[in-house]
Amino acid sequence: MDALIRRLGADPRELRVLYKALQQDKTWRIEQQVKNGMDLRSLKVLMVIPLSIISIAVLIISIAYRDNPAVVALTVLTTQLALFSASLVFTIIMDLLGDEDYRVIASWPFRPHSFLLARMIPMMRTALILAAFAGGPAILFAMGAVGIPVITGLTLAVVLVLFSIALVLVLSALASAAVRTLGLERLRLLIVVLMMSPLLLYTQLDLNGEALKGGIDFFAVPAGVPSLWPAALVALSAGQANQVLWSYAALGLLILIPLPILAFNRAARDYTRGLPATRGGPSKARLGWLAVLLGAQSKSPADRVVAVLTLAHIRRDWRFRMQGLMLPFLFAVIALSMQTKMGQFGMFGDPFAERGLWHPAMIWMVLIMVPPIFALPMVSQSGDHKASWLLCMGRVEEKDYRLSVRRLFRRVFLYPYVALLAVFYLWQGVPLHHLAAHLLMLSLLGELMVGQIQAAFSNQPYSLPPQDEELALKLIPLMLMLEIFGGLAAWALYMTAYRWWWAYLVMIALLEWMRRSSLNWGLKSEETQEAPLPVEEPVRETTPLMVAVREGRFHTAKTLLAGGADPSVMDPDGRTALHFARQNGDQRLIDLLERADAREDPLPAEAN
Amino acid sequence: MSPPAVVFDKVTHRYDRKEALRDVSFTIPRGAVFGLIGPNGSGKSTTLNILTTLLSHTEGGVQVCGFDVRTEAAEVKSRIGFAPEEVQLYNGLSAREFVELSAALHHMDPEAGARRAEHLLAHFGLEDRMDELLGSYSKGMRRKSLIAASMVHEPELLVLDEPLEGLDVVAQRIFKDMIREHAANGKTVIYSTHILEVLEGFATHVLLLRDGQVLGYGSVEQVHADLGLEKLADAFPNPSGSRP
Repeated sequence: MDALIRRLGADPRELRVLYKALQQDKTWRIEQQVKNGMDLRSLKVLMVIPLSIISIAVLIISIAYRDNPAVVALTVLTTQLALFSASLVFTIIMDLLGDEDYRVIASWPFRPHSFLLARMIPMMRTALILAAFAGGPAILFAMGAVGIPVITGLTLAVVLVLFSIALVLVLSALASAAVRTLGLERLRLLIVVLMMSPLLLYTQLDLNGEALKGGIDFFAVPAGVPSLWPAALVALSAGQANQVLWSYAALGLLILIPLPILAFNRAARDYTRGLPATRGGPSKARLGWLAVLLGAQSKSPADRVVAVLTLAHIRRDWRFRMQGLMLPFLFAVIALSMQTKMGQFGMFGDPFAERGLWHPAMIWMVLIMVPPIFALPMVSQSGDHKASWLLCMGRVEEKDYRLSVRRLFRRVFLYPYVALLAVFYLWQGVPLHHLAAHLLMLSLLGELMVGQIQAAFSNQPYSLPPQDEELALKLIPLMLMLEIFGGLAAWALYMTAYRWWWAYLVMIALLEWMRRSSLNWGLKSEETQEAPLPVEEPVRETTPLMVAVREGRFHTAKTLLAGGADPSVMDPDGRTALHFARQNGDQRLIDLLERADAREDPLPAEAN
Repeated sequence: MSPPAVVFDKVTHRYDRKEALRDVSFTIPRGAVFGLIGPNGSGKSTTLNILTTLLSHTEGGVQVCGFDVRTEAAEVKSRIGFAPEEVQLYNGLSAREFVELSAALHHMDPEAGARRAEHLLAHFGLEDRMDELLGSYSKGMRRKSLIAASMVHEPELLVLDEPLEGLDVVAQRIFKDMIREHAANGKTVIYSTHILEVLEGFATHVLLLRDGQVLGYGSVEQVHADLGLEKLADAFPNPSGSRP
């Protein structure tokens, strides 16, 4: 059994310790193990098993009931909804237990709105995004396939959105009440128990989007798997031939099964590095294909920086890695479909085919492949990723750097894609105006996302530190509005493309104009800034807690903390109370402050 | 004649209404090892942030190697090497890649950058581990990598904030030798620390800050004489006001 678990990339020792701790109800032991470097990632690795089983089960049911699209639609949508609901529960609880958010909860009695805004809005946004991009089109096409009017499908989509929002609100209220009544310790235990549940394990594939802090966690939502289902649904519900179905299922499995396992295996080796069971140093695996692609961009320093940092992120973060690995797979799928003469019409039988356009699910698939590149401008500025100083000390200006990200995106992804698409369209005899429309749409969606990220973060070069709650609250509604707009626009595009392709072009042109306007506005606002990197720091002060800690007054410090003193406040030199405790070597105070989640930049487990 | 490494001319900086620096003026000659010392809240970090262009000052003029930090920030950045107190690295890069990235950012020839990166890391005793990911490094090794990255392009002005933190005794000695060698080549070093003893016999010039104002400034001997000190540590007798 151990060998099997290890083969999957998990660490049996870690799992055994966690299980034992669970049995003995010793939460502290789990925390201790987490501090020592076991951060529950082995559980995430094991998660791929139930996820794969669920995926395969859905595909089998879909194929078995291919003559009855309603059953297929019901199966896929029910599974998606179940996973989505489960993910909401898990995400909310994880958020509530997270260091940053726990502070928000702790301050709830004093600032009642902060909790709602900080937690509700991102959840609602996720629900809307899922409904608009993944669930919405699937429902519409499923309904169309079984002869239900479009308006009914639309109604169902709206109901799904409203249901999701209501679900989020209710679950959030329950979860926050649980935090306040059960206490943090018991909930930590609960979360480990929940993690054992196969359905909830799925959410660890990242619905909470840790890698992309700042409110664009929808990038991390698909995780490569559920997004395939709407496409599968469409192919199945449209009553395609068996050969096509099986080919599609085979292609789907090709992506579903080996890739996550491969990615998890490698990531687990990195994450559990230093533990006895997996000792052996970091993975030396290099992503050769990506190095080649990115190496070709190294004409300017800014391009080189982007290339190197892309590699660093992909190497370090399994989410990036998985998405990075899937990018060439996309091309492989397209190439295979052409080879087997499936073509776009065979792969996605839907009303779009009549017009020679690709199904939205395909565009959605494309979009989920590029987040690593889109996310770079933000990630490289993030305090969590710790390279801001490097960018500011080098000669590469922030603006050049951002432009090079776009250049990289275009050269590595867009141009090859466009070339492939053009050849394919010409080969299929699709009119060129369809190609133009398709490219415009792709350009619009891609650049809209980049512009959105950059505009949202242009005034906050160091990402969003937890103390900047005010700024976060300003940005989150803005991004929500943008995303709602994007969702509605996408829906409008789908609908117009069905009957009036010329309206589709007009709509795209309009949106393109709006995009350019907003982009110019964003760049202008950047230019008017005096300095590209932070010019002002938040007011810092020496707090009573710092004085108490500096003078070794344990009980005073404890009383202050119990009274709501914030241990994360920094003095003018950027030091927290924990710094003073460490300098004095006062273990009791160190323990007290660590328990209070004092702000201290974490270093990874030391190797020597 | 080349301009001084740093000129601070009546610089004032405010965070909102709070004054962090008030009317601070000093000049750092080329080739100096310049110690920047003061208790918490004295304005050391603000000073370093201003001269590294991270912070735009409220009033006064600041020049680095003859370039204005506000209007010629790119020129200033290209002449600076900065190792901040907080070690912020990309854990997904190896030490070698990280230092080479820093070299690339400073427009160094890739081969020369690679050679220099290898030389610096080997000097710090990391020759066998420079291809491992920074995420697997200990605190001291991360500090060494950071310092190597800041020195890779042989900057005219090397700015170090608490550089000895996390370094063992051997590494500290190597580091000091490197700093002396750097200064001997006509480069300038700014060294901010709360360990005042380190600067005795090491720094050529010092600036003592307290509450955002200059308490003493000049060569070490001159500051001793001006303030009537036997050693620099005597400038801040109140332990609660200085870093322990």
